[in-house]
Amino acid sequence: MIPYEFEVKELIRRSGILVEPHCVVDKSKPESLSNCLSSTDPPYVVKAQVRGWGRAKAGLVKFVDSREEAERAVLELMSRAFGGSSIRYVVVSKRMNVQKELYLSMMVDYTPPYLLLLASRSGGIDVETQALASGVLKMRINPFEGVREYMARRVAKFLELSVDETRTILEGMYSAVWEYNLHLLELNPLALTDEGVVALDAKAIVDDDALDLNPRLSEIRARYESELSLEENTARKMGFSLILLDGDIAVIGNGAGLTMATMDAVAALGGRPGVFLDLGGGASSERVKTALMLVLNRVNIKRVIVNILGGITRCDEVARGAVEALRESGRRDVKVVFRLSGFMEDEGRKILEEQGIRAFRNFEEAVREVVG
Amino acid sequence: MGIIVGENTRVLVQGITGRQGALHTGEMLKYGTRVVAGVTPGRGGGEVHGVPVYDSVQEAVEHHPEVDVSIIFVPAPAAPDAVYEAVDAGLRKIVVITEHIPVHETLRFVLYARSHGALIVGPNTPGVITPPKCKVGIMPGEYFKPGNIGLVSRSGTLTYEVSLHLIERGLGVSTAVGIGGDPVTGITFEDAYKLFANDPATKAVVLVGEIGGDKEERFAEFYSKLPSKKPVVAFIAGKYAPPGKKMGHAGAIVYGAAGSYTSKVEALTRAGIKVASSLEDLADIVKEIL
Repeated sequence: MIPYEFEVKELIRRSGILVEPHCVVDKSKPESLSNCLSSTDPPYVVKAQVRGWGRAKAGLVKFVDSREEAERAVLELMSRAFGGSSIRYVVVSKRMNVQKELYLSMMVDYTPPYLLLLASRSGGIDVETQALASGVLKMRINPFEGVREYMARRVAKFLELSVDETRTILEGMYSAVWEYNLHLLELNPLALTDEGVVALDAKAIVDDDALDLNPRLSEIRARYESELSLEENTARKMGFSLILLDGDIAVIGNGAGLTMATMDAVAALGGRPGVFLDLGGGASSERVKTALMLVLNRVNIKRVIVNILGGITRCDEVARGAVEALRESGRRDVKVVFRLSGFMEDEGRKILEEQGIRAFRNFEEAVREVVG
Repeated sequence: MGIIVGENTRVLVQGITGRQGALHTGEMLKYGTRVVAGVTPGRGGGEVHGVPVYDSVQEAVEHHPEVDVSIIFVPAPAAPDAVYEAVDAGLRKIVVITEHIPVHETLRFVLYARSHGALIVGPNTPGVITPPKCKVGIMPGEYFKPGNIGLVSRSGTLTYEVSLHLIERGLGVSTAVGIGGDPVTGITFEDAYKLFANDPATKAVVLVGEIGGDKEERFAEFYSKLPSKKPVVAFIAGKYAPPGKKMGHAGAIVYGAAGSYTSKVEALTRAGIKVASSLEDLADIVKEIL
């Protein structure tokens, strides 16, 4: 889950990092605009809140000098969208006197497993290219040790900041990463201003697997879920991984790799996938039914392939769920092709055959059948 | 012979009384795996499929000092604790089936296990199988036939699918290892390859990867520097998948172009690894090089 900038800023502020003075305008609360502008002095930076990167390049950040301009900018941004989602929140910040813009991030790294700290002397929109050109400081942080003093010294020297300020920021980032289960926390730009070192922008990725286990995330989770489409919400609740595409063939499988390989094989034969749906492991009949209903409710879907290799997933549960979904949806114009193999395969096959549905045993045969 | 598990393996099941734990203990026993003990806190003294249940790993290994592999079916909130318990009780091979463990927890227990010389397979793995002798995992045993191909994969069900395709060509596996589908895992492609390289029963290695992250690129880098090597054939899932979400600027700085299908295929090819375009193609290439 990618939280909004204002949510990330609240998290890092609690961890002791300075953030620019700002307020949030909520599209659903018209009074929030005047409240916001009354609480913050011009000149302003007006920033649409988006779940992702590339906002400034999309023209969703505006610099204005007066309250009137700020109002216009907020209303204009509210009418726009980013990555298919409409803008619901706009942050109005006090524009600060910036001496230089820097970059700091921490992310989970794979091997050996550590947190990776990245620092760059140039922050801002094109930080990837600038950072690579001007050099990036990379340091590994052991999750049993946290930020050590020498790290603060090294980063401070590299960024030409004071050790005390740097230590506060690094420790704040580390504790935010840990407290809120962040895969990534990015302060960009982190600015040296007249009022000290301040995070002008902050972005993060929250570990989806931590949402149930971390009550501190409940508020930003609730906001996130309230913005999901019905399909996305269903998928999330059921633990499916769902991607909507523009073709007419729905590809359902158990396991991301198998579902992707099925999609690849469909595409290689000229089929156009319209839905990618990974059921995950151990899907019950109820979950299979929900998945298939979700797909059958999309009018652009004309063909469906359900590819199941039963390991922890029971083929009989899959068959039962599928039969119920087909009965309830009542769609006759959809061709549904099954491939069942593995755990409780014979039982699953029997359940489908009783309904006059044949299930393939072989991967390629099923793919050819659905595309052909 | 195979790697990690074999005919001498004695298995402890953590979470043995749970739905998945009990079910797959039965399946492992049917396969011939020597499951000798189970653990569920508070359920000590009972039995599951004739396997004695203990309250702690410590008690289990006191009664069964021959245990050398633990398999964990404990649900995500308690799974990290189960891993530490196994490491602290002296176990040095731990297969973590559990999925949805927060990655921060995985970071810590993988490091902890490494510092104790313990190998973690997973989390979010189907496990390890050395057919026909031993399976420590949830894979259907009939999908794997004995042979001389080492199979290592990021993806659970795709591992079974690849093995099925090998069987269709009359081939089999020495061992199949699922490294786990999570962003951070214990065993890596490199670790698995090194074990296969030292295994006389393994003639070639099949690597099954997928888009995202840079595990395949890192393996390619490692492999290209080896002085002598066993042949590796790869399959990468996700050629036609829409590009996944980028990890922000940090991801771009760290991974560069890595993560895409093209990047992985190019890196592997440069390292002298053949990359198959389909599962049928994969099995054909493996058959050719043997």
